[in-house]
Amino acid sequence: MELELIITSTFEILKAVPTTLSLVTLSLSIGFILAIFLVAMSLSKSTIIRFLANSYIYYFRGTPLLIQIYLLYFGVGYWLSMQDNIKQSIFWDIINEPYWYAVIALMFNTAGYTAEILRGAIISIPKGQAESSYSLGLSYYQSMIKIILPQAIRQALPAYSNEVILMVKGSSLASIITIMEITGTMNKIRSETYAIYELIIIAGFIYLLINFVITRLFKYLENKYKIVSN
Amino acid sequence: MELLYWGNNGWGDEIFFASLITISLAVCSYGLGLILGLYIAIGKLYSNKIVKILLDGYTTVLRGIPELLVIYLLFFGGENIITQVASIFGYSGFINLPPFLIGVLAIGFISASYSAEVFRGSIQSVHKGQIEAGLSLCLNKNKIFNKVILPQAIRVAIPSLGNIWQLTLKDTALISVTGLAEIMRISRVATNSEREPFIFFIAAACIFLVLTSISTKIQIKIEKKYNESMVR
Repeated sequence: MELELIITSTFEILKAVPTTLSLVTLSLSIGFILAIFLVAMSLSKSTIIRFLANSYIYYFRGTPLLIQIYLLYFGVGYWLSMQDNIKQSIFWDIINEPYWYAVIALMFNTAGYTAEILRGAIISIPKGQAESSYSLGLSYYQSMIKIILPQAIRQALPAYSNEVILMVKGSSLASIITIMEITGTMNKIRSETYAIYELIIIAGFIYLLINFVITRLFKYLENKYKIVSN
Repeated sequence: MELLYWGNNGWGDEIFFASLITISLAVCSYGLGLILGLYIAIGKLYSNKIVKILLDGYTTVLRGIPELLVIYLLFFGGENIITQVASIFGYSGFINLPPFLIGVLAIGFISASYSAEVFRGSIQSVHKGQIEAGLSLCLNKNKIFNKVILPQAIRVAIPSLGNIWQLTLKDTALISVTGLAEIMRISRVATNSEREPFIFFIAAACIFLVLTSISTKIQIKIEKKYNESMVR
Protein backbone atom coordinates (compact mmCIF):
# COMPACT_ATOMS: atom_id res chain seq x y z
CA MET A 1 0.00 0.00 0.00
CA GLU A 2 1.44 3.31 -1.05
CA LEU A 3 1.88 6.31 1.15
CA GLU A 4 -0.80 8.21 -0.70
CA LEU A 5 -3.41 5.58 0.16
CA ILE A 6 -2.34 5.61 3.79
CA ILE A 7 -2.83 9.37 3.97
CA THR A 8 -6.22 9.38 2.24
CA SER A 9 -7.53 6.51 4.33
CA THR A 10 -6.28 8.17 7.52
CA PHE A 11 -8.32 11.24 6.67
CA GLU A 12 -11.32 9.15 5.75
CA ILE A 13 -11.15 7.24 9.04
CA LEU A 14 -10.61 10.46 11.00
CA LYS A 15 -13.82 11.80 9.45
CA ALA A 16 -15.64 8.90 11.12
CA VAL A 17 -14.39 9.80 14.61
CA PRO A 18 -17.31 12.21 15.34
CA THR A 19 -19.78 9.39 14.63
CA THR A 20 -18.06 7.12 17.15
CA LEU A 21 -17.84 9.90 19.72
CA SER A 22 -21.46 10.93 19.31
CA LEU A 23 -22.58 7.30 19.59
CA VAL A 24 -20.61 6.92 22.80
CA THR A 25 -21.50 10.23 24.46
CA LEU A 26 -25.19 10.01 23.58
CA SER A 27 -25.58 6.45 24.82
CA LEU A 28 -23.47 7.07 27.94
CA SER A 29 -25.36 10.19 29.01
CA ILE A 30 -28.85 8.74 28.49
CA GLY A 31 -27.67 5.42 29.89
CA PHE A 32 -26.42 7.09 33.07
CA ILE A 33 -29.84 8.65 33.74
CA LEU A 34 -31.50 5.30 33.10
CA ALA A 35 -28.97 3.67 35.45
CA ILE A 36 -29.92 6.03 38.29
CA PHE A 37 -33.56 5.01 37.90
CA LEU A 38 -32.50 1.36 37.85
CA VAL A 39 -30.48 1.75 41.03
CA ALA A 40 -33.38 3.48 42.74
CA MET A 41 -35.57 0.56 41.67
CA SER A 42 -33.10 -2.07 42.81
CA LEU A 43 -32.83 -0.44 46.24
CA SER A 44 -36.60 -0.15 46.63
CA LYS A 45 -38.56 -1.99 49.30
CA SER A 46 -41.06 -3.55 46.91
CA THR A 47 -40.05 -7.04 45.80
CA ILE A 48 -41.61 -6.69 42.34
CA ILE A 49 -39.79 -3.45 41.50
CA ARG A 50 -36.55 -4.91 42.80
CA PHE A 51 -37.07 -8.03 40.73
CA LEU A 52 -37.70 -5.97 37.58
CA ALA A 53 -34.55 -3.90 38.02
CA ASN A 54 -32.45 -6.93 38.90
CA SER A 55 -33.63 -8.94 35.92
CA TYR A 56 -32.89 -5.98 33.64
CA ILE A 57 -29.35 -5.79 34.99
CA TYR A 58 -29.02 -9.59 34.84
CA TYR A 59 -30.07 -9.71 31.18
CA PHE A 60 -27.93 -6.85 29.94
CA ARG A 61 -24.84 -7.98 31.82
CA GLY A 62 -25.31 -11.65 31.00
CA THR A 63 -25.67 -11.49 27.22
CA PRO A 64 -23.21 -10.22 24.59
CA LEU A 65 -23.75 -6.70 23.28
CA LEU A 66 -23.96 -8.13 19.78
CA ILE A 67 -27.12 -10.09 20.64
CA GLN A 68 -28.72 -6.97 22.08
CA ILE A 69 -27.95 -5.03 18.91
CA TYR A 70 -29.28 -7.86 16.73
CA LEU A 71 -32.48 -8.16 18.75
CA LEU A 72 -33.10 -4.45 18.46
CA TYR A 73 -32.12 -3.95 14.85
CA PHE A 74 -33.14 -7.22 13.16
CA GLY A 75 -35.90 -7.94 15.67
CA VAL A 76 -37.66 -4.75 16.69
CA GLY A 77 -36.55 -2.89 13.57
CA TYR A 78 -37.82 -5.66 11.30
CA TRP A 79 -41.11 -5.82 13.16
CA LEU A 80 -41.54 -2.03 12.90
CA SER A 81 -40.83 -2.12 9.18
CA MET A 82 -43.65 -4.67 8.78
CA GLN A 83 -46.23 -2.29 10.27
CA ASP A 84 -47.87 -0.32 7.48
CA ASN A 85 -49.19 2.54 9.59
CA ILE A 86 -45.69 3.22 10.93
CA LYS A 87 -44.24 3.14 7.45
CA GLN A 88 -46.61 5.88 6.40
CA SER A 89 -46.07 8.03 9.49
CA ILE A 90 -43.58 10.87 9.78
CA PHE A 91 -41.48 8.85 12.24
CA TRP A 92 -40.39 6.42 9.54
CA ASP A 93 -37.30 8.46 8.66
CA ILE A 94 -36.11 8.20 12.24
CA ILE A 95 -37.11 4.56 12.64
CA ASN A 96 -35.38 3.61 9.40
CA GLU A 97 -32.05 5.07 10.59
CA PRO A 98 -29.72 2.35 11.99
CA TYR A 99 -27.87 5.02 13.99
CA TRP A 100 -30.71 5.24 16.51
CA TYR A 101 -30.82 1.48 16.95
CA ALA A 102 -27.13 1.51 17.80
CA VAL A 103 -27.56 4.40 20.25
CA ILE A 104 -30.49 2.70 21.97
CA ALA A 105 -28.76 -0.69 22.15
CA LEU A 106 -25.57 0.83 23.57
CA MET A 107 -27.63 2.92 25.98
CA PHE A 108 -29.56 -0.07 27.36
CA ASN A 109 -26.32 -2.02 27.68
CA THR A 110 -24.37 0.68 29.51
CA ALA A 111 -27.35 1.37 31.79
CA GLY A 112 -27.20 -2.20 33.07
CA TYR A 113 -23.47 -2.08 33.79
CA THR A 114 -23.58 1.45 35.24
CA ALA A 115 -26.46 0.52 37.52
CA GLU A 116 -24.45 -2.38 38.91
CA ILE A 117 -21.41 -0.12 39.45
CA LEU A 118 -23.51 2.57 41.17
CA ARG A 119 -25.32 0.04 43.34
CA GLY A 120 -22.03 -1.41 44.52
CA ALA A 121 -20.76 2.08 45.31
CA ILE A 122 -23.91 3.07 47.21
CA ILE A 123 -23.82 -0.12 49.28
CA SER A 124 -20.15 0.55 50.09
CA ILE A 125 -21.01 3.87 51.80
CA PRO A 126 -21.15 3.19 55.56
CA LYS A 127 -24.64 3.09 57.02
CA GLY A 128 -23.65 5.69 59.61
CA GLN A 129 -23.67 8.34 56.89
CA ALA A 130 -27.37 7.77 56.22
CA GLU A 131 -28.17 7.48 59.93
CA SER A 132 -26.39 10.69 60.83
CA SER A 133 -28.17 12.56 58.05
CA TYR A 134 -31.53 11.26 59.32
CA SER A 135 -30.61 12.45 62.78
CA LEU A 136 -30.05 15.90 61.30
CA GLY A 137 -33.62 15.81 60.02
CA LEU A 138 -32.96 15.06 56.35
CA SER A 139 -35.50 12.96 54.50
CA TYR A 140 -34.59 9.75 52.64
CA TYR A 141 -34.31 11.51 49.27
CA GLN A 142 -32.38 14.47 50.71
CA SER A 143 -29.85 12.19 52.36
CA MET A 144 -29.62 10.10 49.20
CA ILE A 145 -28.98 13.06 46.89
CA LYS A 146 -26.91 15.28 49.19
CA ILE A 147 -24.97 12.77 51.28
CA ILE A 148 -24.86 9.28 49.78
CA LEU A 149 -24.77 9.84 46.02
CA PRO A 150 -21.87 12.34 45.94
CA GLN A 151 -19.75 9.93 47.95
CA ALA A 152 -20.91 6.94 45.91
CA ILE A 153 -20.07 8.61 42.60
CA ARG A 154 -16.56 9.33 43.81
CA GLN A 155 -16.26 5.71 44.82
CA ALA A 156 -17.59 4.58 41.43
CA LEU A 157 -15.24 6.69 39.28
CA PRO A 158 -12.55 4.05 38.59
CA ALA A 159 -15.08 1.38 37.67
CA TYR A 160 -17.04 3.86 35.57
CA SER A 161 -13.96 4.83 33.59
CA ASN A 162 -13.62 1.15 32.67
CA GLU A 163 -17.23 1.14 31.57
CA VAL A 164 -16.66 4.22 29.37
CA ILE A 165 -13.72 2.49 27.68
CA LEU A 166 -15.83 -0.64 27.21
CA MET A 167 -18.44 1.57 25.55
CA VAL A 168 -15.89 3.09 23.16
CA LYS A 169 -14.87 -0.44 22.23
CA GLY A 170 -18.47 -1.57 22.07
CA SER A 171 -19.38 1.22 19.67
CA SER A 172 -17.33 -0.63 17.05
CA LEU A 173 -20.14 -3.20 16.92
CA ALA A 174 -22.36 -0.52 15.40
CA SER A 175 -20.41 -1.13 12.20
CA ILE A 176 -22.20 -4.49 11.91
CA ILE A 177 -25.52 -2.71 11.41
CA THR A 178 -23.97 -0.59 8.62
CA ILE A 179 -23.05 2.50 10.62
CA MET A 180 -19.94 4.19 9.24
CA GLU A 181 -18.05 4.83 12.45
CA ILE A 182 -14.30 4.15 12.76
CA THR A 183 -14.46 0.37 12.38
CA GLY A 184 -17.13 0.57 9.70
CA THR A 185 -15.15 3.06 7.62
CA MET A 186 -12.03 0.98 8.05
CA ASN A 187 -13.84 -2.12 6.88
CA LYS A 188 -15.24 -0.27 3.86
CA ILE A 189 -11.77 0.91 2.79
CA ARG A 190 -10.43 -2.60 3.39
CA SER A 191 -12.98 -4.13 1.06
CA GLU A 192 -12.08 -1.57 -1.61
CA THR A 193 -8.29 -1.69 -1.37
CA TYR A 194 -7.57 -5.14 0.16
CA ALA A 195 -5.12 -3.46 2.51
CA ILE A 196 -5.40 -4.66 6.10
CA TYR A 197 -2.40 -4.04 8.38
CA GLU A 198 -2.09 -0.31 7.72
CA LEU A 199 -5.82 0.24 8.19
CA ILE A 200 -5.96 -1.71 11.45
CA ILE A 201 -2.96 0.24 12.75
CA ILE A 202 -4.59 3.57 11.88
CA ALA A 203 -7.96 2.63 13.38
CA GLY A 204 -6.37 1.00 16.42
CA PHE A 205 -4.23 4.07 17.02
CA ILE A 206 -7.29 6.33 16.95
CA TYR A 207 -9.11 4.09 19.43
CA LEU A 208 -6.06 4.01 21.69
CA LEU A 209 -5.88 7.81 21.58
CA ILE A 210 -9.55 8.17 22.50
CA ASN A 211 -9.16 5.71 25.37
CA PHE A 212 -5.97 7.41 26.53
CA VAL A 213 -7.77 10.77 26.76
CA ILE A 214 -10.61 9.12 28.68
CA THR A 215 -8.25 7.48 31.19
CA ARG A 216 -6.43 10.79 31.74
CA LEU A 217 -9.74 12.59 32.23
CA PHE A 218 -10.89 10.11 34.84
CA LYS A 219 -7.50 10.17 36.59
CA TYR A 220 -7.89 13.93 36.82
CA LEU A 221 -11.40 13.61 38.23
CA GLU A 222 -10.28 10.96 40.73
CA ASN A 223 -7.49 13.23 41.94
CA LYS A 224 -9.83 16.18 42.15
CA TYR A 225 -12.35 14.35 44.32
CA LYS A 226 -9.82 12.36 46.33
CA ILE A 227 -10.35 12.23 50.07
CA VAL A 228 -7.61 14.34 51.60
CA SER A 229 -6.76 12.84 54.95
CA ASN A 230 -4.43 14.43 57.42
CA MET B 1 -42.16 -22.73 18.52
CA GLU B 2 -41.92 -25.61 16.01
CA LEU B 3 -38.92 -23.80 14.61
CA LEU B 4 -36.92 -24.74 17.68
CA TYR B 5 -37.66 -28.49 17.39
CA TRP B 6 -34.95 -31.08 16.88
CA GLY B 7 -34.45 -32.46 13.37
CA ASN B 8 -34.88 -31.34 9.80
CA ASN B 9 -37.93 -29.16 10.37
CA GLY B 10 -36.56 -27.23 13.31
CA TRP B 11 -33.36 -25.47 14.21
CA GLY B 12 -33.02 -27.11 17.62
CA ASP B 13 -30.14 -29.40 16.68
CA GLU B 14 -28.30 -26.65 14.79
CA ILE B 15 -28.57 -24.33 17.78
CA PHE B 16 -27.46 -27.10 20.13
CA PHE B 17 -24.30 -27.87 18.13
CA ALA B 18 -23.67 -24.16 17.71
CA SER B 19 -23.75 -23.80 21.50
CA LEU B 20 -21.20 -26.59 21.77
CA ILE B 21 -18.96 -24.67 19.34
CA THR B 22 -19.41 -21.50 21.37
CA ILE B 23 -18.52 -23.31 24.59
CA SER B 24 -15.45 -25.02 23.13
CA LEU B 25 -14.35 -21.74 21.54
CA ALA B 26 -14.68 -19.99 24.89
CA VAL B 27 -12.87 -22.75 26.80
CA CYS B 28 -9.98 -22.96 24.32
CA SER B 29 -9.45 -19.21 24.09
CA TYR B 30 -9.76 -18.79 27.86
CA GLY B 31 -7.16 -21.53 28.38
CA LEU B 32 -4.86 -19.93 25.83
CA GLY B 33 -5.44 -16.59 27.55
CA LEU B 34 -4.60 -18.00 30.98
CA ILE B 35 -1.33 -19.62 29.88
CA LEU B 36 -0.23 -16.68 27.75
CA GLY B 37 -1.37 -14.23 30.42
CA LEU B 38 0.65 -15.94 33.14
CA TYR B 39 3.81 -15.84 31.01
CA ILE B 40 3.21 -12.19 30.10
CA ALA B 41 2.77 -11.35 33.77
CA ILE B 42 6.00 -13.15 34.67
CA GLY B 43 7.78 -11.34 31.85
CA LYS B 44 6.42 -8.02 33.01
CA LEU B 45 7.62 -8.59 36.57
CA TYR B 46 10.95 -10.36 36.22
CA SER B 47 12.53 -9.63 32.84
CA ASN B 48 14.63 -6.82 31.40
CA LYS B 49 13.43 -3.38 30.39
CA ILE B 50 12.92 -3.98 26.66
CA VAL B 51 10.75 -7.05 27.20
CA LYS B 52 8.80 -5.14 29.84
CA ILE B 53 8.08 -2.26 27.47
CA LEU B 54 7.02 -4.66 24.72
CA LEU B 55 4.69 -6.57 27.03
CA ASP B 56 3.25 -3.36 28.48
CA GLY B 57 2.58 -2.26 24.91
CA TYR B 58 0.88 -5.59 24.18
CA THR B 59 -1.53 -5.39 27.12
CA THR B 60 -2.25 -1.68 26.59
CA VAL B 61 -3.01 -2.10 22.90
CA LEU B 62 -5.11 -5.24 23.20
CA ARG B 63 -7.15 -3.80 26.03
CA GLY B 64 -7.53 -0.44 24.30
CA ILE B 65 -8.72 -1.38 20.82
CA PRO B 66 -12.08 -2.98 20.02
CA GLU B 67 -12.18 -6.79 19.89
CA LEU B 68 -13.56 -6.54 16.37
CA LEU B 69 -10.29 -5.01 15.11
CA VAL B 70 -8.26 -7.91 16.49
CA ILE B 71 -10.63 -10.39 14.87
CA TYR B 72 -10.45 -8.56 11.52
CA LEU B 73 -6.66 -8.44 11.76
CA LEU B 74 -6.38 -12.19 12.26
CA PHE B 75 -9.20 -13.07 9.89
CA PHE B 76 -8.05 -10.98 6.94
CA GLY B 77 -4.35 -10.71 7.73
CA GLY B 78 -3.47 -13.79 9.74
CA GLU B 79 -3.18 -16.18 6.82
CA ASN B 80 -0.86 -13.81 4.97
CA ILE B 81 1.49 -13.60 7.94
CA ILE B 82 1.50 -17.38 8.43
CA THR B 83 2.12 -17.97 4.72
CA GLN B 84 4.99 -15.52 4.68
CA VAL B 85 6.54 -17.07 7.79
CA ALA B 86 6.17 -20.48 6.19
CA SER B 87 7.82 -19.32 2.95
CA ILE B 88 10.90 -18.35 4.96
CA PHE B 89 11.14 -21.99 6.02
CA GLY B 90 10.87 -23.10 2.43
CA TYR B 91 7.15 -23.89 2.22
CA SER B 92 5.55 -22.55 -0.93
CA GLY B 93 1.79 -22.27 -1.16
CA PHE B 94 -0.98 -20.59 0.73
CA ILE B 95 -1.85 -21.77 4.21
CA ASN B 96 -5.53 -21.64 5.15
CA LEU B 97 -6.41 -21.23 8.79
CA PRO B 98 -9.72 -22.73 9.95
CA PRO B 99 -12.09 -20.07 11.36
CA PHE B 100 -12.21 -21.89 14.69
CA LEU B 101 -8.44 -21.48 15.11
CA ILE B 102 -8.65 -17.81 14.13
CA GLY B 103 -11.38 -17.35 16.70
CA VAL B 104 -9.39 -19.08 19.45
CA LEU B 105 -6.30 -17.02 18.65
CA ALA B 106 -8.15 -13.68 18.48
CA ILE B 107 -10.22 -14.13 21.63
CA GLY B 108 -7.30 -15.84 23.37
CA PHE B 109 -4.94 -12.93 22.69
CA ILE B 110 -7.51 -10.48 24.04
CA SER B 111 -8.23 -12.66 27.05
CA ALA B 112 -4.47 -12.98 27.67
CA SER B 113 -4.06 -9.22 27.93
CA TYR B 114 -6.70 -9.07 30.64
CA SER B 115 -5.49 -12.08 32.59
CA ALA B 116 -1.88 -10.84 32.39
CA GLU B 117 -2.89 -7.72 34.32
CA VAL B 118 -4.78 -9.82 36.87
CA PHE B 119 -1.84 -12.20 37.39
CA ARG B 120 0.60 -9.31 37.66
CA GLY B 121 -1.50 -7.63 40.33
CA SER B 122 -2.02 -10.80 42.30
CA ILE B 123 1.65 -11.85 42.16
CA GLN B 124 2.57 -8.41 43.42
CA SER B 125 0.03 -8.72 46.22
CA VAL B 126 1.95 -11.63 47.77
CA HIS B 127 3.90 -10.33 50.71
CA LYS B 128 7.64 -9.85 50.29
CA GLY B 129 8.28 -11.74 53.50
CA GLN B 130 7.14 -14.90 51.73
CA ILE B 131 10.05 -14.65 49.30
CA GLU B 132 12.46 -13.99 52.12
CA ALA B 133 11.08 -16.93 54.06
CA GLY B 134 11.54 -19.10 50.96
CA LEU B 135 15.12 -17.89 50.57
CA SER B 136 15.87 -18.64 54.20
CA LEU B 137 14.69 -22.21 53.57
CA CYS B 138 17.27 -22.45 50.75
CA LEU B 139 14.65 -22.76 48.01
CA ASN B 140 15.84 -21.65 44.60
CA LYS B 141 14.11 -18.94 42.55
CA ASN B 142 11.92 -21.28 40.52
CA LYS B 143 10.79 -23.20 43.56
CA ILE B 144 9.92 -20.02 45.42
CA PHE B 145 7.82 -18.86 42.50
CA ASN B 146 6.09 -22.19 41.83
CA LYS B 147 5.55 -23.41 45.38
CA VAL B 148 5.28 -20.23 47.43
CA ILE B 149 4.18 -17.26 45.38
CA LEU B 150 1.96 -18.74 42.65
CA PRO B 151 -0.42 -20.71 44.91
CA GLN B 152 -1.07 -17.62 47.00
CA ALA B 153 -1.35 -15.36 43.96
CA ILE B 154 -3.90 -17.65 42.29
CA ARG B 155 -6.17 -17.47 45.32
CA VAL B 156 -6.18 -13.67 45.02
CA ALA B 157 -6.63 -13.81 41.25
CA ILE B 158 -9.60 -16.18 41.14
CA PRO B 159 -12.49 -13.66 41.44
CA SER B 160 -11.05 -11.48 38.65
CA LEU B 161 -10.24 -14.51 36.52
CA GLY B 162 -13.90 -15.47 36.82
CA ASN B 163 -14.89 -12.08 35.45
CA ILE B 164 -12.48 -12.57 32.55
CA TRP B 165 -14.13 -15.91 31.81
CA GLN B 166 -17.48 -14.14 31.50
CA LEU B 167 -15.93 -11.49 29.24
CA THR B 168 -14.33 -14.17 27.07
CA LEU B 169 -17.60 -16.09 26.82
CA LYS B 170 -19.40 -12.98 25.63
CA ASP B 171 -16.59 -12.03 23.25
CA THR B 172 -17.04 -15.32 21.37
CA ALA B 173 -20.25 -13.86 19.92
CA LEU B 174 -18.07 -11.52 17.84
CA ILE B 175 -16.46 -14.47 16.06
CA SER B 176 -19.72 -14.79 14.12
CA VAL B 177 -18.39 -12.10 11.74
CA THR B 178 -15.87 -14.66 10.45
CA GLY B 179 -18.65 -17.07 9.53
CA LEU B 180 -17.89 -19.68 12.19
CA ALA B 181 -21.12 -21.54 12.99
CA GLU B 182 -21.48 -20.53 16.62
CA ILE B 183 -24.70 -19.40 18.32
CA MET B 184 -24.84 -15.88 16.90
CA ARG B 185 -24.08 -17.00 13.37
CA ILE B 186 -26.68 -19.78 13.44
CA SER B 187 -29.37 -17.56 14.90
CA ARG B 188 -28.59 -14.98 12.21
CA VAL B 189 -28.83 -17.60 9.45
CA ALA B 190 -32.03 -19.05 10.92
CA THR B 191 -33.55 -15.57 11.17
CA ASN B 192 -32.75 -14.82 7.57
CA SER B 193 -34.26 -18.02 6.26
CA GLU B 194 -37.34 -18.17 8.51
CA ARG B 195 -38.13 -14.46 8.80
CA GLU B 196 -38.72 -14.90 12.52
CA PRO B 197 -36.17 -12.64 14.23
CA PHE B 198 -37.42 -12.74 17.79
CA ILE B 199 -37.49 -16.50 18.34
CA PHE B 200 -33.88 -17.21 17.38
CA PHE B 201 -32.27 -14.15 18.92
CA ILE B 202 -34.19 -14.66 22.16
CA ALA B 203 -33.15 -18.33 22.13
CA ALA B 204 -29.53 -17.27 21.65
CA ALA B 205 -29.81 -14.72 24.46
CA CYS B 206 -31.29 -17.40 26.74
CA ILE B 207 -28.41 -19.78 25.97
CA PHE B 208 -25.92 -17.08 26.90
CA LEU B 209 -27.85 -16.28 30.08
CA VAL B 210 -27.83 -19.96 31.07
CA LEU B 211 -24.09 -20.21 30.34
CA THR B 212 -23.24 -17.09 32.34
CA SER B 213 -25.40 -18.14 35.29
CA ILE B 214 -23.88 -21.61 35.39
CA SER B 215 -20.42 -20.08 35.33
CA THR B 216 -21.33 -17.69 38.13
CA LYS B 217 -22.44 -20.67 40.24
CA ILE B 218 -19.21 -22.56 39.52
CA GLN B 219 -17.20 -19.41 40.17
CA ILE B 220 -18.71 -18.97 43.63
CA LYS B 221 -17.95 -22.63 44.44
CA ILE B 222 -14.31 -22.33 43.35
CA GLU B 223 -13.87 -19.11 45.30
CA LYS B 224 -15.25 -20.81 48.40
CA LYS B 225 -12.94 -23.77 47.95
CA TYR B 226 -9.84 -21.62 47.59
CA ASN B 227 -10.77 -19.47 50.55
CA GLU B 228 -11.40 -22.41 52.89
CA SER B 229 -7.89 -22.21 54.33
CA MET B 230 -8.25 -18.49 54.94
CA VAL B 231 -11.53 -18.58 56.88
CA ARG B 232 -10.98 -18.36 60.60
